[in-house]
Amino acid sequence: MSKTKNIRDGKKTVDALPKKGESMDTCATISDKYVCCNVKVLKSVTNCPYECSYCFLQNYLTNTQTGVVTDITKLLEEVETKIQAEPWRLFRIGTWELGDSLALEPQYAQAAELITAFTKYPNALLELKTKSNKVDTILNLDHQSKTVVSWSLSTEYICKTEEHKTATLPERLEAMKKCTDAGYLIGAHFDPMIYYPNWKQDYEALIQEVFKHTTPDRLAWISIGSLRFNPEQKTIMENNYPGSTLASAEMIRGDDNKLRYPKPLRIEMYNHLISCLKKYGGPNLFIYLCMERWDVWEKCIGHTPSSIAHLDHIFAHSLKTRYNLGPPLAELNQYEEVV
Amino acid sequence: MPTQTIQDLRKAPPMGKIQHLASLLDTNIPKQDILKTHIPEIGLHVHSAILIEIKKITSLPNAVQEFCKEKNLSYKQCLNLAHIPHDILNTVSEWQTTLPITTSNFIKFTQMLRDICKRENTTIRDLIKTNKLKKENMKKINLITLNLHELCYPIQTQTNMKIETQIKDLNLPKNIEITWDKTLENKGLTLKVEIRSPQDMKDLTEKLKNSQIQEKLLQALDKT
Repeated sequence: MSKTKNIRDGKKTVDALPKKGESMDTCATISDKYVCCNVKVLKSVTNCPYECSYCFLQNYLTNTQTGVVTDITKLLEEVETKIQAEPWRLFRIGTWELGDSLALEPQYAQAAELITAFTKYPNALLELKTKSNKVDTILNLDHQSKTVVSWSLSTEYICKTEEHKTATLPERLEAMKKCTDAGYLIGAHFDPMIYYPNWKQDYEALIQEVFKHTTPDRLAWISIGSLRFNPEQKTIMENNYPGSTLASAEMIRGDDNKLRYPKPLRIEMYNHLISCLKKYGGPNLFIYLCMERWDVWEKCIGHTPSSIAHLDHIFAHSLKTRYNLGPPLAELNQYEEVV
Repeated sequence: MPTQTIQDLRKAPPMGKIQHLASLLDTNIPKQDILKTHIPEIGLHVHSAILIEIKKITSLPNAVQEFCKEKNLSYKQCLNLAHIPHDILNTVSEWQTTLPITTSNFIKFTQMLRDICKRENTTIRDLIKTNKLKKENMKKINLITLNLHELCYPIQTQTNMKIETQIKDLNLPKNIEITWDKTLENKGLTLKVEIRSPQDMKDLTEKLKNSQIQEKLLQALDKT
């Protein structure tokens, strides 16, 4: 199979792929300068049919051909080997790093197989993250709440102007409601948060809408992160999406070499979003920041995890106490030994 | 085409090669021949968008094309300039007629201006008209740099100015210097102290013991 290099050329067709090499790994963005949640990723899809102007795959994939790994038995063998090696630990495993978890589900039914398989794992949760509304084929599965169906959520303005070919915001929220009604745990990712003139009002409207479609008790986790990308990606975005203004925003280069909004602006944006979340969703939501500085955590969340392992442990604690998911909660030092 | 010409073209700056290919595109030579033969033989990499890119690059203002050739800018650099509005390129080219603007400054200035104009949905003409880009600053490179930096990074500029004012208000002796990460990404203040006498030591301890100074330092720290 020949390599496709142009990101758009790679979106034209979909290949069914065999499993190659190691498929389960730690999220690629991990950096010791920023707090990472230590989620594991299962590379079961590569590239996606959608076109988000800020998508990091534009600058990340060396072969842009869209593909779905159809050799699910082998994928699961690797997952089983890895989670069984640390049975005391709760693994969160997402299939969204290199593509959309559900965009191609009607054709390939990959997620359905994974959902069913994960019901048998006592110490792992599956996370499917999507900008689609393609959930109908997974609604009647016996998921046993071992899968979190998550949406990447942006304001209606950003959905329309920057997230091309994705499901509209009302469509995503309607799908979120269907999954809530089907008993799934839900994830909400406000990442990337994007700054533009009406961001404040629009994010508040978005949060209001979210809580019309799901309930705080079904929200397993909520992540917040700001727009960020490598300096090389700035030029790629400018060339691929000349109408977008995202790449022209005021940005600084962080210690992980990514461009992001200056810290005072990030803090203002996160605090606004968090206050809206609490206003409409109550005080007991599990909110975390994705790839943020320790002091930003302090200013926005009110505490700072002492390490990446600590945040992983906080997740395990929350999921155990709220949903009785995972093995008996291990001590923090056990997490620290392996992370 | 004579071998010599091809050899010359292989050695030519990328802009020279691009202009040559653009002239071939204006002839009856089939595009497939240009893609299969002419582009590889002068040492450019063939990719799906190259013909569109060549057209775009050769639509750059003449002065900019000459600049690209003279400074031997890479294909990628030429292409990146081709995405910048012509009014910006023309203005910076105009500055270049009186100021010794280096290649990296030319690229930096045009990119900063592009970001500012795009973000604020304005033009360079309006920036000058509204005095955001001050005419008097256009006489010196360091003043242009400062002016553009302020416009391009307003949050950083304002926050750093506030920290600077708070630190100035401390009235610290000259042997105490306070610095911080101007990108504001790494929280913290760094105190550098030069102690040459017991008196310096005494002054330092007194300053740091002063609760007002401590308070102001904490306020400055909070902004980093």
